[in-house]
Amino acid sequence: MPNTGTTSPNTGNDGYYDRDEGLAIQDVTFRYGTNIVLQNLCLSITPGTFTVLLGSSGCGKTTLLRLIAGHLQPQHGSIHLAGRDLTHLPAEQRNIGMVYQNYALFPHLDARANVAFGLEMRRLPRSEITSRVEAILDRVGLPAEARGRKPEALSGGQQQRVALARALVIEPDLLLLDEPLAHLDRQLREQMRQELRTGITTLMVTHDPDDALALADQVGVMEAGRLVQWGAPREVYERPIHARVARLLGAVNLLPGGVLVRPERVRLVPGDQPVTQVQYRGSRALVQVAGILAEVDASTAPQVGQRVGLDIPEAACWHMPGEQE
Amino acid sequence: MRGSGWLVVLGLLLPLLWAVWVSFAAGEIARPPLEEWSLRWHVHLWMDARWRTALANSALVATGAMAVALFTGVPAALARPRWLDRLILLPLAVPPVVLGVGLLPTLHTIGLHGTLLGLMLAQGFLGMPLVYLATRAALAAVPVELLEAARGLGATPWHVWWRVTWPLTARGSGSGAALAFVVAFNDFFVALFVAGPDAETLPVLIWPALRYSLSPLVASASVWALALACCGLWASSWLWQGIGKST
Amino acid sequence: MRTFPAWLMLTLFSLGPLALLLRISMYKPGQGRGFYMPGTWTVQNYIDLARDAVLPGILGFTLGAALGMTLLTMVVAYPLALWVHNLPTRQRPVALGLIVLPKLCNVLAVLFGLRLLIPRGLLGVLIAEVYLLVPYAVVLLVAWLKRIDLALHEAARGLGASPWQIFWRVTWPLSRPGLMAATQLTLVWALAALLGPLLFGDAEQTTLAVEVQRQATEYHRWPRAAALAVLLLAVIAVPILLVPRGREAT
Repeated sequence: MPNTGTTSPNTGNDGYYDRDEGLAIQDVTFRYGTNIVLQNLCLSITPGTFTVLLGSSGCGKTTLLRLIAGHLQPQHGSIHLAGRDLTHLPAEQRNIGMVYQNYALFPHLDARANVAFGLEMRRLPRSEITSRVEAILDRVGLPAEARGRKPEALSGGQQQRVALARALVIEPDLLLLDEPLAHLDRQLREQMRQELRTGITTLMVTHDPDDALALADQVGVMEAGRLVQWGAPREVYERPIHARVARLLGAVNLLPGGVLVRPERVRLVPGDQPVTQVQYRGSRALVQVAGILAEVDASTAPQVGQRVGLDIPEAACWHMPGEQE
Repeated sequence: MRGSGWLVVLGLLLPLLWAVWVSFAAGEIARPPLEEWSLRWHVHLWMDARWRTALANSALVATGAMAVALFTGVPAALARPRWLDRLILLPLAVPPVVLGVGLLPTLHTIGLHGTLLGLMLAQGFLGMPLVYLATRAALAAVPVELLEAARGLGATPWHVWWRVTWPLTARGSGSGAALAFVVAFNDFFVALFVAGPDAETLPVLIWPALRYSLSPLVASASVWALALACCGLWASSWLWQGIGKST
Repeated sequence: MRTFPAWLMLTLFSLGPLALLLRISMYKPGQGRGFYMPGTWTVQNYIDLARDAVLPGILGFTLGAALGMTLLTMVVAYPLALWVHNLPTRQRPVALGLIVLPKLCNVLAVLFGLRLLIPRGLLGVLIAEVYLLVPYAVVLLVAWLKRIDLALHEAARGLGASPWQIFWRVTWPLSRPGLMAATQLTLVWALAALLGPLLFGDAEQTTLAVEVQRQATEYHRWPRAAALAVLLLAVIAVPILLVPRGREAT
């Protein structure tokens, strides 16, 4: 049974899962020594959707990926994918594609050979391997001259594409992404983001809220080995169950009584409170007045010391059902 | 203070250098050539059938020992059980005479005493820790994600090793193997106890000459062994250079 | 499963021989040219050893010589290790390589040179063994010294200590455990000294190891050799067991 420790919206699993499709994780517990890393975790992913697990480091999200991929064995619980019970299946038989945070490309093989690796393990004929490798490299957009190079001679973005191609070419039932955009600069990150949506059932793990909000069909928030909230990105952003979840997704104002207001909903009006801080962010600015953060258009942002007032509409307030902190 | 250290090192190397010098003696007596230098003893070494056989045997046995060390050391480094870490240096840490006396009856029991194969096994035993340690160090430089990625792509444990781990650690293992070769080639103690008339390696021939007559021929043999040791050391360290690069 | 070959080797070549040694030491000696009489059991060999007139002398010499060798070796090895430790980083592997080279090379080459250079007798035995023992001791000591945090040295210098003071107050106390371990191991090797006494010693300079080798390969009295080897193992075990140290040095 789903156990998230607090009352929460639907965790995607009502104790029943659709056997025939998608990923279903039931009641999985994983211990490392005396450390409980994952606790009675339940998770269900509809096929074809893009799910993001969001959490700060140490919450167990990478461990969960490794469990699903088969490199770790849970002490309790089961994992089903596309109707098959994977729980005791060796990793090499699970047909799951994974992209690692630092890509884990084989340094002694060039880009083509890296991508071909999974197909070679499946004993496909050489001609088919070659054509599929070229096709997938076309699809991820790796230039022809880069395909014969070893990973050390490729740029970060190119390595990422090769890693993705390697995972996709085997036509996996599930794609696992471990912070795939972490090492890329901002421009590249935004460019690559959309390339990650491939139509394959995907589970991505990250600590970056922008990635989660931009890519996900469903967001799961993890904390200390538990799934604490689950829902569409908008849902999780506007109606987090408690303050920690709220902070994970962006800047917040926490008002007494467990009320949450996002800075962009706070409006500045004429008043007599002094502005204590202004953080310029290009098109927007973050203004701090009387301990409250307001996000305003940068062109009309006030100066430090100016006197303003705050207007917090009732509709912008959200009473968090969870812990008050 | 700094310079005096090098003097001590020189002093430690003196007997070796002396032996090299003596090997070029022109006469019969083992004295360093002061006026006339000659290659006669080196020529004699290669001409003499018995010494040639011994040299060939040494090379053959060392190669076999290297293979034994590889085939036992590499799998052990892959598995790396707890108890092995402590015990692995046993062959090198035990005083050779103990080793020799233990090996004599053991090999006799399995019928390999006095044979080249028995020597190979025994000397492979000496080289096994070297390959083990070198392989272990090379393995540590391979990130675990690479191995996981390979498995996720469908590789069985054998394939993971054959297609990923081995290509990345071969140089490290090779470095250890080169040292194992050198150790086996120059080994004396084990050969003293285990070798027989059919299995004479170089040290075994040198030994009586060393005890009873001091001829420059022995010096010459020593020099060739020394040359080989240097080659082996050089090969080992050259192979080791590549370790950091491949990741 | 993967470790089967290694496990097999270790058993075959260390535990097996040990058991075999014990067994052989309890055979009756063979008549005439035979090595031993198969199928017999006796402790006579050990009794003979206990009654042997020459053995106490051999034991005494072995112990005394071993102590002397160890002392001399450490006197040479410790300063040498300190010197290596204080070398600039580039020169260190070169120096270590040169010190270890004789060991990797044919040990007989070294002994040959020594035979030409030093006289026989007790002094020759001691010097020869020192040559054989020093490389190991230096390697062990250098490995240990490496663990002493360099930052401690620099801190001491920053506080105004002279090189002598740094040594006396920092290096020496911290390296003592390493020195103990290295000495202990050197003693083990010295007790089993074979080549030095064999090549450089006269009849008075017979060590236990020499006697074992003689009985085994020259007289072919295997039971007796085995019994002596067991005795040697017992003697070696003393320094190993007496000082309960973990092998932290490597």
